[in-house]
Amino acid sequence: MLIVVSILLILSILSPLLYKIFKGITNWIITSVIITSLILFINYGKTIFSDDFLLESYEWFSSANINLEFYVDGLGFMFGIIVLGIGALIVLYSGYYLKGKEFTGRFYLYIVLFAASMFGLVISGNLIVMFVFWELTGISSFFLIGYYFYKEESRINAQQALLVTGFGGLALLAGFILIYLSAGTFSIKELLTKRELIVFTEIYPIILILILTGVFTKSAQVPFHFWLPNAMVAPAPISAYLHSATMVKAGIFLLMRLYPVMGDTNEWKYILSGFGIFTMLMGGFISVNQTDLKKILAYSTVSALGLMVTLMGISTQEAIQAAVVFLIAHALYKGSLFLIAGLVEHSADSRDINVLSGLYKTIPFLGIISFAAAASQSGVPLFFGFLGKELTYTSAIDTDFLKIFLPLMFLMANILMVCAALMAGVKPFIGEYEKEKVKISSFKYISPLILSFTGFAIFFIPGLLNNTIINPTVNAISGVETRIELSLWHGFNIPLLMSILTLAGGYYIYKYRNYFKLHIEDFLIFLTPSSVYHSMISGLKKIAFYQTRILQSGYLRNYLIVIFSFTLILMILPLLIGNKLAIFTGDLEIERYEIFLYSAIIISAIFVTVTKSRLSAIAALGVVGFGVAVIFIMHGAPDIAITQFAIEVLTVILFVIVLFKLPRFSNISKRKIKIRDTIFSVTAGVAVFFVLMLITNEKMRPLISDFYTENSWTLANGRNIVNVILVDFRAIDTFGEITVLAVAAFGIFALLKLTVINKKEEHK
Amino acid sequence: MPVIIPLLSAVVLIFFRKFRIFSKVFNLFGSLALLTAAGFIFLFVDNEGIQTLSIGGWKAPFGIIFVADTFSAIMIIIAGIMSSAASIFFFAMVDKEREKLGFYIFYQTMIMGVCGALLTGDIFNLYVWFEVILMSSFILLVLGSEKKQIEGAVKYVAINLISSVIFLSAIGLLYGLNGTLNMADLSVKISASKDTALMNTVSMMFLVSFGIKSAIFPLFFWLPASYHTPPVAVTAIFSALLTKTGVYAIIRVFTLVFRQDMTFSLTVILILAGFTMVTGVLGAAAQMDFRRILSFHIISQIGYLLMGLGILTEYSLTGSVFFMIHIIITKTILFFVSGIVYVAYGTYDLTKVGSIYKWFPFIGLLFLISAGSLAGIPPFTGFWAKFFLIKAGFMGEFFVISSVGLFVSILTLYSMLKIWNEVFWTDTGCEFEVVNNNLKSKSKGFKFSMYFPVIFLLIVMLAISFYPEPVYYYAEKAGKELMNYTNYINAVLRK
Amino acid sequence: MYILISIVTGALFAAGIFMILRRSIVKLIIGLVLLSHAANLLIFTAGRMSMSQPPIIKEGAIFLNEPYADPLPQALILTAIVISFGLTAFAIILIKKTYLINKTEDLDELNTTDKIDKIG
Repeated sequence: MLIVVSILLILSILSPLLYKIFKGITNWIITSVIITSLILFINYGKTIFSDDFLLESYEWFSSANINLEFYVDGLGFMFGIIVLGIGALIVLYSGYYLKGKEFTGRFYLYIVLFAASMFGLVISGNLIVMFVFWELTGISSFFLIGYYFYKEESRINAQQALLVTGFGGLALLAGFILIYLSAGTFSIKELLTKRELIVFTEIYPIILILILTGVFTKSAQVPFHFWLPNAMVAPAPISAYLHSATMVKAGIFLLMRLYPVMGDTNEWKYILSGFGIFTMLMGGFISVNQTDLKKILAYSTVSALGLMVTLMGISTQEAIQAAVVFLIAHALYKGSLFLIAGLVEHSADSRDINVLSGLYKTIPFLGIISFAAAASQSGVPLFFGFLGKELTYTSAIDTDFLKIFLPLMFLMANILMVCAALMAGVKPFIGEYEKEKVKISSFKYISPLILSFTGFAIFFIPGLLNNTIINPTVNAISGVETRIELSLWHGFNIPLLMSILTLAGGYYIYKYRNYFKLHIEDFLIFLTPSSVYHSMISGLKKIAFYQTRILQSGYLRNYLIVIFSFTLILMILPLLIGNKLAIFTGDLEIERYEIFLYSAIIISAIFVTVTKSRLSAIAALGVVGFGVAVIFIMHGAPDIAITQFAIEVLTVILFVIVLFKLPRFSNISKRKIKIRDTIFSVTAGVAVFFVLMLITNEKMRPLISDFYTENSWTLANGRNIVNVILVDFRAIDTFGEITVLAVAAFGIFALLKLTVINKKEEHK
Repeated sequence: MPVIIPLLSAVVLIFFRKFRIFSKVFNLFGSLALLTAAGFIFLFVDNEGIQTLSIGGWKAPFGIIFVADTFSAIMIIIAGIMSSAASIFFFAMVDKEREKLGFYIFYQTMIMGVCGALLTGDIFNLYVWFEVILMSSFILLVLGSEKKQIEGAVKYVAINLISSVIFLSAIGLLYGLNGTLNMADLSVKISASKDTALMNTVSMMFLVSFGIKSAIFPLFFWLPASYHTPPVAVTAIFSALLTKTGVYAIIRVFTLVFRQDMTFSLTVILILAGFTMVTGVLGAAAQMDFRRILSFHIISQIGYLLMGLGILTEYSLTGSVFFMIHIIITKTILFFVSGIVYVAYGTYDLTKVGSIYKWFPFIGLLFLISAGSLAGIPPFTGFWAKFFLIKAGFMGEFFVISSVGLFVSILTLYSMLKIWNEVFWTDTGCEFEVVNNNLKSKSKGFKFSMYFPVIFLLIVMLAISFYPEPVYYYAEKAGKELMNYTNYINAVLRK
Repeated sequence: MYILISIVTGALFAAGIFMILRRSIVKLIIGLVLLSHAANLLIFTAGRMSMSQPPIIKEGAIFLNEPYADPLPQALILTAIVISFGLTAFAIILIKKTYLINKTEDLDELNTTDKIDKIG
């Protein structure tokens, strides 16, 4: 398995290079490599049939319980074949579709990268490995949607798709982590045996919601569906491959993969069928109201995805089988229809079905292919889509779940799907002949032809398909060994009746679709989460703007006030919580000269704050500094005092020198602000006072200073202990301190010198 | 050793600052020597456990002691890698005027301060190293004296000086309560005391002081005001080392010193972590300038680092350490890429730069991988880092902060997409000839020193992304050591 | 004894904070100087300063006789004073440059680097 993934990844990286060398025939080369890997993959089929599954495991990140595991059973096998098979056809088609366009090399890079990651996703045997590939598909989809990046629409929609699926991806990741915490493993093989550990936990509903958010965003369920129609700005082969045949089915795949682990509970049934039914109906309604060919197809894809989700919600063996059959059929016909739409657009320069008509006369061969695909979508007998539809009805009738309501919903959705098929697959080709004859290179037909007629052909060999693909898949999903026969003809029964009703109803709506339009449009206005998304984005921008504007206002004093208040709150809170604001007891022995000194300091400090003269402010500042120095002297710290004196003098001198070049104090603050600041700073001062009192109230623990006083002379040969500490015990502090001074000196030198440079430049 | 090497380099550079080429080469040489020394320390720590070095031969807690455990060894090694990569980048990105004024001297002293702060085991010594960093960074920030640089510097200086005052006061109070300065000794003393309330007050002062340096909410204001003003090479190295050293100090102090009763402090840290993530990313979303977006993102990422600390389990600390490694590398690459874009276009304004994807897909690729990593797209390092943190959050049942972490990463993705759309996809009417000429006209050496560090760091990042096992192993080891702090204490106090 | 010196410390903090909240850039620096005085006093107080002899071992003695002032906070303050002088000197030169280059001393006018003015 690893080898197949590696081939594809390497191919992806090499493809721009290949394009440089081989130009126009690159698509053939890439296609053949993909087909080779498909053959390699099918070779594994034998093991899968005999053992039910194939497990490959490589040591990767074992300490986090994440190994590079591949687990392929019937389900992975089916998806793998779809991904690679359709991928090969799409690349082939793209070569002709994109002829003459720029950046074709990069296009191949992304599309092969997508194929590799989608393939990796469906065969991965570890949730985290799966998640890695899951996100990679999203990334490659982003680049493919943004292929025409010079158009604004492309950019916006690419971003939208990535953000919506990225959001779901994160929910999914959270879900995976919770699964791990409940079950103790990321390995899918082990998880399959640990259903009880997940379904019966309290957090099961949370896990389910998280996983389903991931599924619904990827598989475009309401209310996350809107990115899919918008993604139609991508080139036609991308819409065919990513946005109908494979990537959007990753969500369905995950439902099927996790069904044995967390499916078939009440929550599962109701949530899935609820969202599924709503999505399939809404997708259907909107699709028949579109006129753009690709939009019709996109919304009917949404509808089909909803139908598959509903089927998975029903949770019976029959429903799962129906989902599998429908999934294969849909991949074939919808892929084909998108490719046809691309050719129609190229040859008729329009995607509007009101404009397009009579193309059958100009390009009859394409018409036939298109009719076949449309017939399969409509569920006309003799086409594979018919089987899917029959099974859907049967499973809906045979279950007790939701009784009569369910078949009715399916009927309605299918009717709309028939109508969409007629509009997109038939309408452009019939009617009046308008356009001149155009020539389409016959290579372009290959891919849609194969897709359409596979759908036709496999109708006749259901037995083979059933035994090799469908039954193993159903077994893998449900975990129960079954052999359900697929038969072409069930006799005259209710499902057949419903099928006939569907076709008739579809045609009826198609014919009178212009009348329906009026009624539905008002209703649809309420159902545009796309606009919700846009208002969310612009809301986000606004919130971001105002928040930043308020916080990062540009005014330093606002910043400082926030910082100080924050500090104060954090300092006081623990004291309040700890009920620490008790009254302190200290000795109140006060000498008279102390009072004099302290009040001198305080008065000069206050004077600094109120004076309007710069010089007197600085003089008062000096007084404060000297006062502090005197305090140091009085309390047995002559060394600091001397330093303090020296430094104070230097600072004042520096201030005075610089000051002459500065303007006078201007009194710019408003009175109100001054009062506010006064109150604020006094509060802060009081808080500091309290904390300090509390601290000095505590008993001091054994001091390390004792060590210094005892060893200063004996070990370090110094009598002045402060100096000994500075130069010996804590020499590295002093070392750092000198560095700071030196750096400051050089920095000041550099700053001053820069002025000179600037001035010189000005003179020049 | 890691402290001495930058110092020697700085001294040599002082004498030779007039010789530009010599300075450049010697600066790189100094950084590489530092990296080698860091490598040795790392090996020692890995083989023999926590290493200590008493400066001047005085035993802890009396003398100052340098300690290297796995966390600081990892940090030192990253600092070595980053300073070497940046030194190469400087060849292209630092102009003549700055070099003559001794740009490299200040660069080396800053690195010295960072290494000192990462290794010291003494709280006052930590203060001294922080001042060394601060002083050097002040000067790196204003060198050039452009108008906006000075404006940014005023805010940077004012707010950081306040942080120093608070730091110093906190040390004073801490000493007043415990009578010692050695962090291991403090830890022992604090665990023995019963007075939580006052200790919490002091610990909050440390949180604020380091919080200012590491730019957490609501103390980050200086960062968006100043980080985008100096040359991009300076911004890159600031973002890689300065704020991260602040976070390192927070983690160190709260995993070692204040381990007494942590309910209050952890709650505060978690709340701050959440707000830091959200306000940072929203701030980024509001900007229209390549470098300002990146600068604001620094804040948001700091939130994740704090989140790991706030949860405080072995696993969450592992997450934080891993995240630290990831973010330093990734963020530096992004800043370097913005520098390359600046060389080509002469501006950081999103509305003026355009069409890079069309013309220079290689630059696009460089940005894309690193931006993807920042946004947490698998399998890049950012994904793993977030994955560990979120998992740790769920394991500890911290659902709110984990959801915030997840949600913020979608906003990160949004702002990265914004850069991508505006700068790489949109055609803003730039002329190909002009832009291409800006790049083409540069000498080969210039191009090499511009691209090489980016590519080198990108390879490192990709290696970690695709094979996270070894890095995870050491992150886990560091996480365990931080959680079981008694080993650290025993190593320091020789018990 | 502590109560008075704590009041002084508190007052210095208050005055410092008040000064740095002003718009004038010169006042900002003065405020920072006041704050660093306050911080030094705070260390001094918290380190249990006392009315006693300096921590200097007398000629001929081996140990220090009680009571003596705790030498460690003194060493710390000394380091801190010198460092903050370095920072202050730099800050003073910085404001000079600021004034020369930006032609204003009003901090409110120095907000071009971080203000944003339109929704991006």
